[in-house]
Amino acid sequence: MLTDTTCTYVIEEPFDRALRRLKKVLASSNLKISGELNISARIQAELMISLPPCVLLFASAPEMVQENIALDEYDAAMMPLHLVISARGPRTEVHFLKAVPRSAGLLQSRAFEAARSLQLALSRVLERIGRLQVDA
Amino acid sequence: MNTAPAVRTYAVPERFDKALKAIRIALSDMEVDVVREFRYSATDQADSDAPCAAPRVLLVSSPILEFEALALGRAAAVFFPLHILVADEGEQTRVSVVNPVVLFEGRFPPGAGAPIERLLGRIESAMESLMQSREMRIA
Repeated sequence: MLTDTTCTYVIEEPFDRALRRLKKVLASSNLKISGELNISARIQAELMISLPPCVLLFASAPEMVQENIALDEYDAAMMPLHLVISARGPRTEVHFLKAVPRSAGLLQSRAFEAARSLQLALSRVLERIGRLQVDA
Repeated sequence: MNTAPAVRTYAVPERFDKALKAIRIALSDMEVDVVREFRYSATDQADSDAPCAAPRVLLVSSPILEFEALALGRAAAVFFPLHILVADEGEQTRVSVVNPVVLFEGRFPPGAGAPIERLLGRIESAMESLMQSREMRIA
């Protein structure tokens, strides 16, 4: 049976407060957040369609921002990893990639190893402020 | 079963800065926005004395396709915007586009697959049009 390509954590707090808290725990965890994109604001500005708040934080594995790394296409596919923070009523959901490659040969590649360690670090951070949503 | 390749690679016959500018214009012509750009560390080419420009990862999207992808669930933003790698190879510039639907195993967020494929289609059209214009100029 196929599993989801993404995993979801639920934070039992409204969006603004959850986002502030998440940024604070990320900052204290040595994870490199290299940018932010407000998706709901972009869609509102471009299409005049209102969506519940949704922001992307871009996270990079430390080994990918080192000197003299020759980036390949798989590194670029995985990094920066998108951390999707979105409002869902009084709660907030956080989604990120947990997919494995179809090609078994890529499992041990630098890109997937780096992404896996980043995903583990993100899970540890999110477990401090939220809970993992288990597939139905 | 999707038989498309996981990665499409283009060798643009231009030096890095010029190619990057041309890629932006070609994407814009296809209504694809570069919403963020990440610059990674520069590397030295083993066969060249000249240092390479730092590779860039362009994050690209289209508001309407992004909206379509996110309409059924925000988890689709794990894949939107899509990533394009632009790397300096001296006299030419390598551009790589990964198709996440082919690369990754598993169930995608509902409604995400079709907009991803359509955005990839626009990127491919942009790159093919850029490559054709370059080939014509060289000829």
